[in-house]
Amino acid sequence: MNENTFSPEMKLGELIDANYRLLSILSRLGVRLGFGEMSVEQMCRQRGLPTELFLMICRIYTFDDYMPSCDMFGREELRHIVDYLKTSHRYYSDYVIPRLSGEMDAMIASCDRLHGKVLKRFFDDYCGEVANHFAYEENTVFPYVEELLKGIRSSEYSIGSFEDNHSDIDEKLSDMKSIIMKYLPENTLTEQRNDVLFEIYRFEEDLKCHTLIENRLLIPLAAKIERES
Amino acid sequence: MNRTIRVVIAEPSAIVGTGLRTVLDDAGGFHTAGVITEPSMLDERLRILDADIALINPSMMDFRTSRNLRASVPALQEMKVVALVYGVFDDEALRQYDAVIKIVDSPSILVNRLRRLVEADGEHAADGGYDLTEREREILVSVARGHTNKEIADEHNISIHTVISHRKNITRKTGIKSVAGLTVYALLNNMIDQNDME
Repeated sequence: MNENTFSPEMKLGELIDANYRLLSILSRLGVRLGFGEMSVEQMCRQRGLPTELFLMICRIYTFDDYMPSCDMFGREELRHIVDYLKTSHRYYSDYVIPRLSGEMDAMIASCDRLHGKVLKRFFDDYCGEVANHFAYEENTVFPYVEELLKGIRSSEYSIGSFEDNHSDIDEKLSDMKSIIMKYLPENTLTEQRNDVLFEIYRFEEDLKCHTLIENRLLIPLAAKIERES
Repeated sequence: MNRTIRVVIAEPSAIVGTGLRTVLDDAGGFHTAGVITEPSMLDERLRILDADIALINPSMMDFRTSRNLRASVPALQEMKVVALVYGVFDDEALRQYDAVIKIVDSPSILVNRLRRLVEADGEHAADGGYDLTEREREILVSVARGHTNKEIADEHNISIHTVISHRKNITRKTGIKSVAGLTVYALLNNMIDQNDME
């Protein structure tokens, strides 16, 4: 499998067979299962989604060292990128974090009360940090780009300020992994710990792709349009 | 210290890049984090891929870049840099590399040289193991109590530079970067009690 594996003619079923993690990308885009023999191109046409952009997103989530480039993209793609990032946030806050939180609770229920309390607080702080991070992008960055696309240029904000303030939300997530894997005493149940760890690894990988889309597609494309306007 | 060595290959020829990856895979103990074929992407990708060693074909660098490698590609300051040369190459430029490997060298020479580079570094560090030293434990407690680097330096009568170097080692050993995470670590290990945090 290489980058060219993903083509417009590929069936959605083959796409998922090539990388099952793309299931969650399809659901984020609102594609329901039961798609039969539909191809990537048909699906994209149906949703008015640029095919090349969709394929690029699939490659980002599939190849660790894939570096997307927005050279051939313009306003139309930027609009879809913002939409994608928004649905992705919704997917994290409505689905991933509650699931992680549930697994965390199950694990905490099996551990020492004091340890549980400390972990819970660490996790809650992290969730607060993630919520702030998303809120900033949703209330400031995305509306700015949407205005930019309508030809309205805000005087005090530019995509450069987003680039400068784009905080990491993966640091604490990675710390949590080390703590649960290495330092929580042995008396906490292994299966429950594994569930949390699997969930964190998946979330981390997803966030890494999400950040790559912001840094390699959203920011440079918005900057290009800023220069044009 | 037997951890996996992460290598990034920067090589314009995809065939050679694939060959190097295979050699490292077969040797075991290496992970090829990525193969870069585009010189313009070098710095950006190296940053993301977080490697121990960058194996670079110096012909990827233009004249100006090759004369001051680490200034032109700042990501290289964080890792060992090894040159892979096909032919005769400017000596002055090659001096900036931590090691030089020739295309005609055998796979075992390549593998051994890369391993030695990383091992040498491990011995060079004050403490190559994963257990925290007594001093590091003290510093960790101060960090967990929310003290700043300046405060910690004063408390322990050491320079801020030394505090930072201890903190780096603590993070390397525990895998925990954030202050909140280090606090959890200290609590779980009974190095502080909850009252310290309130």
